[in-house]
Amino acid sequence: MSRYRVLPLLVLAGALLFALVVPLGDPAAVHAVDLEAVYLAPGAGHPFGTDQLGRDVWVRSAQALRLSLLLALFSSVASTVIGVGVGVAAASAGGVLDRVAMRLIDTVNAVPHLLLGVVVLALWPGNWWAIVASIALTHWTQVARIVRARLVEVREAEYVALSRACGASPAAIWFTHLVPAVAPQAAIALVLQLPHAIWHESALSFLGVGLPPQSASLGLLLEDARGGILSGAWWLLVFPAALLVLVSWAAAALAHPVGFRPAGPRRAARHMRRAQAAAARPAAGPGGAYLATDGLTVCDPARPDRPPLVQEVDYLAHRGAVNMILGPSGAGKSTLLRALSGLLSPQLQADGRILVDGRALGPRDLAVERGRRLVFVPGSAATALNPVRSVGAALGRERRRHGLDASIPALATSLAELDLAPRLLNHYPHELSGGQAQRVVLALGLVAGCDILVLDEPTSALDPDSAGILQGVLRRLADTGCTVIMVTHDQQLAQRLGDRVALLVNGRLTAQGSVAELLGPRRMPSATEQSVEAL
Amino acid sequence: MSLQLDGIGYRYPNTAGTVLEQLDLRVATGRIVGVKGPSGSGKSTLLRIAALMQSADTGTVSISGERVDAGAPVSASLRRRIGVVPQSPRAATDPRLKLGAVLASPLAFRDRAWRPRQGRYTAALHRWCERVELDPGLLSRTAAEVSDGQLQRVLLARALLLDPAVLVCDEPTAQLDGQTTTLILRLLAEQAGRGAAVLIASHDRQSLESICHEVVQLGSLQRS
Repeated sequence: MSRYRVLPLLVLAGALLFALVVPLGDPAAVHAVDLEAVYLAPGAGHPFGTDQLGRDVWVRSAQALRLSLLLALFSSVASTVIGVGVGVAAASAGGVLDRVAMRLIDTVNAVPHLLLGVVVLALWPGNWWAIVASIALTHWTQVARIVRARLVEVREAEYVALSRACGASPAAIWFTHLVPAVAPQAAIALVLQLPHAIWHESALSFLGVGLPPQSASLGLLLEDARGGILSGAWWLLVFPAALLVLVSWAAAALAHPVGFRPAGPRRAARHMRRAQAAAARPAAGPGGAYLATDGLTVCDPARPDRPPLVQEVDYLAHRGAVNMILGPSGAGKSTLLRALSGLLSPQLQADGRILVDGRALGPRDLAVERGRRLVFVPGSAATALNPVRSVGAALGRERRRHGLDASIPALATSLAELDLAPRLLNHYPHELSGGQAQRVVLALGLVAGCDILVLDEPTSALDPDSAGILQGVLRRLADTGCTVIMVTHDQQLAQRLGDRVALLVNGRLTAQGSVAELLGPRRMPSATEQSVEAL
Repeated sequence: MSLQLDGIGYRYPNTAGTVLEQLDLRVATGRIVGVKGPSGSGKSTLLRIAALMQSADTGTVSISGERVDAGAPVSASLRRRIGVVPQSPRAATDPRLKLGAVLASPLAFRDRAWRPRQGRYTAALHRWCERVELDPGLLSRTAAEVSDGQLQRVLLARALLLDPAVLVCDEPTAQLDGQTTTLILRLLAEQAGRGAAVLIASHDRQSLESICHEVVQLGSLQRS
């Protein structure tokens, strides 16, 4: 468990203990009126003081917290159940029912929640289940929306199509793919509703439409405090309010999605040491080097038992050259490429330096460079495009962002450079073939002109003609001074197009140099076969 | 054990112009047929129709003589006789499942399980790992923790698991290294040797020519 969750967990556990244990000691004390002990300040015997009827605030707060938590729990569960039900029904029925459900959600969202809650409670005053119903009926919409969106997305996924193609029944599709995709979302929604429901219950009781005034809930206690605060009895407000805030905060903090990991002092110190050590060494690589790495290691901190994905790599990419990275599958080629572009998955941890033009760049600098000087073209191009934007809209937006002409003829010209027909401007990503999508992504990347172009297997999904066109474009870019870095498994391509080549095996760089040195003279198939053996 | 397409027609919704029109294709038992064609010519669509993953607008698909008309429902038992090797292994794997569960799923679905678990099938799965030269330890990882080549080996094993009569492969070797490509082509040829009809789409002329008995250009399949 992350240490950022320990504190809220302790607070919540403490509050639960308080709520469950304290009223057990003396159940009668909750309602015991003692008119000789009215408005006693906190002290011995009454840790939280007493109220206007001499009742003990310590015991009453515990009882109130218990009731409020219970009502909040019922309400969150009820609203999650309704939300999941509506979301699943809308997604699986589709058509008219889906549209009706979505409009119903809009309608419920348009009505002020407190108003709807007050109406429900006015019909059934003083009933605990009416409070649960009034909260549940106004808060299911968000869950329904999330669940429906997720279901529609996952249902269309290729892996669901593949499972269906090997004979999976509808129930199997649900329990293998859909439920595991939706359940975490619903669970987070439930926990997030908890503090909100506590707050909602308190507000309703405070307004006097909640529970009967003699019972103890946080809202009623706060309502009582209104009179006491004027006569200086601050404890009536402070203790119940503090409980409300603490419990709400703890529940919300626990629901916070995982994966957020700020750099702690230890990591910062390590970076500092490394930076100092690096500064002591000569900074730039040999002449002509443009992008370089220095002892780059990428590992998965969650899996200390596995070897690093990329290990102590000192890589050099030359300016104005096509730099190939070759290696067998699983060698860490794509990981290295992502590290170079500052696009590593946040779960992975990278150590070592990345230098552009002799200047060391951190992940944040890389993110700034990316899209300006450094362009990354992913292997699976179709998923890299925004599905709701046509090719023309995406390209036009990118050109406008860089202050370029975004007229139709200009867009058609930039597509034509990659041998794409102008009619594709009206196409959406799902209407493009793999090869077309690859070239559209490249066209987007090239809008601003770039210094470093990083590509992951750009030609493997293309037919020979498109691959030839793309290779021509890459060659031209390199000849005009761009640093092209590409990963490929195709030795012949590396030999034909590459100037420099690096071999990566098991995360380690085993060799790097010019293509002629490592793979023999260009266009010699026999040499290729030998180097396949060497791999 | 053959695959036959008759008069297949298909157009994308909301677009003018058909992608496939009156298309005939026959892959006899034990034969490997390659389909080539430029980007966007409809290769992937044709293969999805042949694998019964998508219905055509017109025409029929016959799997070992069992006819399926366009739009007709397909039984699970017929689906189990078709193996599919997808174009992008990444997109074709549920990121939440362990690879063991991914690999075991055809067996689990056949045995009417709601959720695939590898435990029941460990021995069979390990045999398959050996055949596709994959470290069985990888079965306890998820897709994000292995490379494209390793993932495609899992999906190839999954496609071959139920000994399919028809094997449909869309760019099975795109984005893979030489070793994995050689292995995949060898296993596809072996499956054809066992009497399966194999249909492959690929840009890689060399690998097509090395294993296909016949390579057809997509445009030439139209009825004249």
